[in-house]
Amino acid sequence: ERADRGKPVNIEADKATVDERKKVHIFEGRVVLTQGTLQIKGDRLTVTQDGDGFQKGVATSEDGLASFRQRRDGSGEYVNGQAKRIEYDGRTQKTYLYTNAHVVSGKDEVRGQYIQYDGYTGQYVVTNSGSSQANSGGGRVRAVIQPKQPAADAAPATTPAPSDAAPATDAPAQ
Amino acid sequence: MRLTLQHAFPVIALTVLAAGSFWLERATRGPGTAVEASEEQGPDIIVEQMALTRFDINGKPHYYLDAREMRHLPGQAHSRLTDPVVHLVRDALDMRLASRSADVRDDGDRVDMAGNVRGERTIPGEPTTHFASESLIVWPNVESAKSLDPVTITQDGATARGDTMTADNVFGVMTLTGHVQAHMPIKRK
Repeated sequence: ERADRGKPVNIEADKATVDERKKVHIFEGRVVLTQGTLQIKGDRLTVTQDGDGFQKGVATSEDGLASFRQRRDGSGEYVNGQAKRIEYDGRTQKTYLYTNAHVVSGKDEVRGQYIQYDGYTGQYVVTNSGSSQANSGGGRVRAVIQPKQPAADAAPATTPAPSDAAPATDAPAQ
Repeated sequence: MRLTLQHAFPVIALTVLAAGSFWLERATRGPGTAVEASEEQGPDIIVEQMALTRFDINGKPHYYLDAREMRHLPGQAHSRLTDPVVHLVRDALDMRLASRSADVRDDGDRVDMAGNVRGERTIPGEPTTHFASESLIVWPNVESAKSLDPVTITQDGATARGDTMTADNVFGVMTLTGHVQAHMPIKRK
């Protein structure tokens, strides 16, 4: 949600190491980061802060997957994602999921080795490599985009009923 | 009246018994206990408005240890300070720690601060960092510290709490452990 950007960041963990010189905060053990509707969980979270006060977080998980969750503007639906490593940029509101990445938004679902989710636009970029560049020899990307429900039938007949247009897709999958 | 052996026997027996128990008590007394007597011993030195300066190897002041009162307790090989202030200065670092009381060991290497411990760390160009806890052990020479009580650190609106803390270069690098909670407001420049 756009409003998340201005909200304070709260973090809970078993342990925190703060290096004042490098301006790095490392949280370990059942880490939960919350900022407005955004929530990131993992075994380890490294938080840095840029000159303008925006935070960047990198969450990883030892055994399982780190997870993130954020409500989308307008629809109120939550986007849920999981991956071996999740990077979150508070300035751009973008979340980057690396390795065994999986994002579910409403009934839409995407899987790949890299997913970039834009909290502003609700758009994803999914690739089969570990970066935003697709890898021709790599595995496949899978996306399940549910058709959006047509406008309610109660709408007056004068307006042409929507034909079997391709379902609105959020995901310009590559 | 002639004192016969029969009459004297109880006295002899009691004397032997008393001597035996006195020897037994002495023999079983642990090493520490010999000091106990001197712990009750009061201070041998009392200083009012104490101000101590410790210099580093280059002859520059490294830290100041001030107190409203210092009582040296020879029996416990340490001094008890009232309203102590540990003031660490080195290069740009300025760290000031105060509490209700502190114990300083005779070797001066360690200061155990207790009771409403408050700290302020300032570095030019950086927001001040504040520290609060009920206890803090400081090793001023090596610039490290440890607290075994819940700690709260605040800086520029951000706060961090934990059950215990260790710190090097007195809060240059700090580790909080146990129920850690951090709150970081968004500060736009």
